[in-house]
Amino acid sequence: MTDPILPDDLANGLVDGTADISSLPTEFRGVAEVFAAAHQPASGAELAGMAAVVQQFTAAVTTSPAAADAGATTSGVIAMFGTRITKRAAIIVGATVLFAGTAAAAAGGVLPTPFSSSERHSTPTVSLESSSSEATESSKSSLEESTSSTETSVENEGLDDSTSTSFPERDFGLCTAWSNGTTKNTDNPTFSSLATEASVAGKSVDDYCLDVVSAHDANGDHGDDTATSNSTGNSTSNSADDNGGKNGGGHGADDTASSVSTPASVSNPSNSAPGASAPDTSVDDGSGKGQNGKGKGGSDSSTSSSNP
Amino acid sequence: MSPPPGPLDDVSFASVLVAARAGDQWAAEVLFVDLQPRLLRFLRSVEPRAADDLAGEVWLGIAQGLSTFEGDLTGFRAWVFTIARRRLADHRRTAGRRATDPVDPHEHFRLQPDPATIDGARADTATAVIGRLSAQEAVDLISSSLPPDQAEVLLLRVVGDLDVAHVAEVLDRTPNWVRVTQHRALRKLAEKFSGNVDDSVMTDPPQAI
Repeated sequence: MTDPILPDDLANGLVDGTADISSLPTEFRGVAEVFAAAHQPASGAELAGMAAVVQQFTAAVTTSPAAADAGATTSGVIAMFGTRITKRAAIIVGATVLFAGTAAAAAGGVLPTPFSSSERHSTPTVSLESSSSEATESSKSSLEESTSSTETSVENEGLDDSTSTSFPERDFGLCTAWSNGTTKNTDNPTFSSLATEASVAGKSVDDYCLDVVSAHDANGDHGDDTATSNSTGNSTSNSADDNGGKNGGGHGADDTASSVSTPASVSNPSNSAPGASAPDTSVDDGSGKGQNGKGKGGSDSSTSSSNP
Repeated sequence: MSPPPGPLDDVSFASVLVAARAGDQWAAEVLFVDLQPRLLRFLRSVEPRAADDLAGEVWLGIAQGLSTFEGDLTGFRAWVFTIARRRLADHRRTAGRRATDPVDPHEHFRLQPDPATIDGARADTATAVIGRLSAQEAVDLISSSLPPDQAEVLLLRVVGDLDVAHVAEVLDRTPNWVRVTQHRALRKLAEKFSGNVDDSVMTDPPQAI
């Protein structure tokens, strides 16, 4: 069983407290009395603190006039959208740089593969660019400082690759010390191993050291040739830009150390632009992530600030 | 500009609004006398522990948005209660995040009255009890006797002195929904306060549109 909606005049009379209680249906008389009690005039307790509230109210009204309020709202909206646009632009630029760099690297066929030997040949080019892009004395000095250790490792690689019957690298140092020493005492524990090697070879220590030094010189020339051919090959294939974009992500330190093996490449100013792109890429990537997080906060605050 | 002689009405409201926007203290006092009791009765019935603080926040919101308001006195009251409901929602959302919120047992039981007490009060409602109710007690009785949506409709109608259209605007509902909800609320109150309403009426209310 449904009940018809109460007539508007009856409902309005009830809620307004203006209805004549004696004329109302009996079931609504109690309701009308409750509503009439709810319409009682304000009590003193309800108006307590009026002076303080009015003072704060007038102060708030005068400090936020219409023009200033509207202007603040407008500028706030503009600032909010401006911030969002800036964040979006930063994110888009960062993503574009990352994508373009990766795509260019892929097109050049120089994407880093951790188990590929080609990475070792591509790294000098990248480090050439990064080192030449800076072209500062401090960077040069720091690079030159790292040259000694790097050259040693390169030379070691050259020896290992080129000489199947190579002498131990340890013997080259010992032979150098032996040759430059004033007293050549085979009883010296330092040269005991050298003497043993020489006796095994059926030679004297001096003859053995001559062979060791000559073999080392030959291997050292071969190593230099290898390094030169590496840099030449890379520049000929003109994959410098791709290498710069590719390797800027994670091989910067190693590449810089390896590149110094060719001194000419350090002062090469032609490859500065790609080298600069690698740190730019990493910077854009980081800022993009940070601003993305801020973007979420901005949307929340805008939602809450829309309420009066 | 001088204050209006009588209580606030649609005629005097325009001048009071202009003066309040200019920062005149008398205009703020007129608005306060008209609105503060309504606000407190409404807020104390639904959130008694934070009603005074919420009312202060509502006045701050009124001051900040007064320059942009356009409308008559009823529209102004509706706008004020819209602010009040938003502040109330913010307060409840903030309070809801707190894991522990100590509650006074006496106040808790007052907010959720014993049904036996309600039944006892219903028996005496038509006689002497209602006649001794204060305004806040009457509002609390309405609020505690109804479901939240029905209570809110009646409170806005009674305390806020808003018509159906403005209540619908405040609640973001249709006027027809407000009428139906008001009808249900009145029927339920009539049953509680008189005991003469046919039970079949309350068990088969009209469907909301």
